[in-house]
Amino acid sequence: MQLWAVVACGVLCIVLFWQVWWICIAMWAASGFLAAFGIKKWAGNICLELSGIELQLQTGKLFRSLRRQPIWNLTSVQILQTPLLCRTKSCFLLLYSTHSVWVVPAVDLEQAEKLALLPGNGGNAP
Amino acid sequence: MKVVSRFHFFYSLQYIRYAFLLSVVPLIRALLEFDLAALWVALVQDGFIFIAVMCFSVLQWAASGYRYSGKRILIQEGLLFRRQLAISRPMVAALELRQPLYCRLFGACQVKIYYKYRKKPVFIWLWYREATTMAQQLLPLKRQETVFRAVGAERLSFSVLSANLVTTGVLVVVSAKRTTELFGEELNKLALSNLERVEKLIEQVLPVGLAWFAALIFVLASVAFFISFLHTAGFFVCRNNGVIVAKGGLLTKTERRILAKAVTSCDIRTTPMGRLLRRSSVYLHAGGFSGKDLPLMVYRKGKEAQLQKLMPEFHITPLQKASFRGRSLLQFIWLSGSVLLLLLSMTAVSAWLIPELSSLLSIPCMLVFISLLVSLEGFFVEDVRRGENRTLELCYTQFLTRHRVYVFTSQMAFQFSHNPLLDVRKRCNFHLRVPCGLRFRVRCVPIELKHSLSLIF
Repeated sequence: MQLWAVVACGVLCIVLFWQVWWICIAMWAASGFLAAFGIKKWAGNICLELSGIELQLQTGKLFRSLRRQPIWNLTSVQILQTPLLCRTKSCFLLLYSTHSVWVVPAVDLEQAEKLALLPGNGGNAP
Repeated sequence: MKVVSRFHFFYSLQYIRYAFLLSVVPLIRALLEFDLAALWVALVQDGFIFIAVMCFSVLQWAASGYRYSGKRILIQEGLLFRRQLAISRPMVAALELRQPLYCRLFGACQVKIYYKYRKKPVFIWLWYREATTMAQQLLPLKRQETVFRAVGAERLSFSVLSANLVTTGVLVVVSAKRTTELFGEELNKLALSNLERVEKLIEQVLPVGLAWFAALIFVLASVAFFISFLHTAGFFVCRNNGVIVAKGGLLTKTERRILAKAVTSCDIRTTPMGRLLRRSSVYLHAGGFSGKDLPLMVYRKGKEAQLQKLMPEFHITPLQKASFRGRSLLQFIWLSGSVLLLLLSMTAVSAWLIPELSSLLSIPCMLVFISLLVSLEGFFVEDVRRGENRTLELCYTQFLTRHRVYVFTSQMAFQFSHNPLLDVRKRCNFHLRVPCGLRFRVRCVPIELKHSLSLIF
């Protein structure tokens, strides 16, 4: 019921104020709720793995993409939690590196904490 | 922070230009309306604005400056909102000292400091002697041994310039002749009496308007090439103490110091004009530095030793054919092909309805046709592979240019993107990112590369 209320509010906002930021907020809220309420079908397409010295992020289903980067590229890791995400022990993970930011939604909190402890040494590659 | 050395007084110019923008609008309005009273009011108002901004910029200049603290340079800017920056040697990837003619008259120098991991450089105005001291502090040099002198580059620029001037001259003559044939001497009177009418006239008589437009484009291109010629005069490149130095210019003197260890990639660009002259321009990327307006040097086949003197790990390989089995030709030529078809259909229609326009349409047609040929070449040569000397080699085409990129850094990220059409062919697109957001794209690479292409050397 709660989910439907939020979706309805989002649609109303888009209809009333046809602006890009409203769409972004609505999408962000929707993705958070999808992750929080355990709808794993969507989140299941996103896969973050640590393979040796490499971080691999796979996203999408029809339009898939695989991103790879060595761990020494990482400059900082940010774990973002909302009350709803806390309930499912998941979080948003932001991986900052020397060239870009990876935003990974619905990551298992335990895995995120492990990644946060990685020796990201800000570009001191061997 | 106690300021020890102040910036050059040109530093305050950045605020005066805002005053100029503020004051020019009421002046133009008054001038267009031919209202002398309003013009006088606007001038008085501008005077006040200028005095206020001058006072502010002098105070701002007095509060800003820099000082050396150990191996760091501390920069302070701002009066009300203060900003402090600490720059140390390990953070710096490249440095640029630039002296346009007006700066040389006043002994000023524009200094740009490029970081290794930040895109936006730091920009300050200094006295020339102080600028060289700062450069020596951040990227010191010991002795200079010239590796390359821009004889080829000057010739290249000059030949392109001459070709362009001739084309411009011809186009201007043709446009003027056509205009005179159509309107005789009436046009001059019209131009003097009312500009708006001339605009409408140009809109109504499209071919003549377009002819002038094309002439204007070529004039601008010629000016650009002339400036490039002045910039490359007396240009030389050398390497010492681990720093690559590029120096030269006639009216605008430029000195670039690039830390060789910070070089992330080297881009060899081959343009259609370069193909005719059998030369390619070499660009180095180091952190936030990319040297977009001026190539580092001009490369000619067989002169690899020059590049290797600058970057010993550099090893240029002959252009190889990629495995193009399973590649989609359409993916490479769809854009230039569809634009060419559109232009050809427009030419056909114009040949029927407005024959004067057909000759002008041939210019974009020719450009897009060259782009189509370059895209076709991309179908055969676009590839990514591990090269010798611990590099990653990329070859790709973009519009009229073929790029050959050699990546030296190990701080990179790969992205392989799929779509259903590529999946059928067992191919994917490859994107490479290096620090400071620099991105390269190679289309239709084999899907096996997804896991086999190693990130480390």
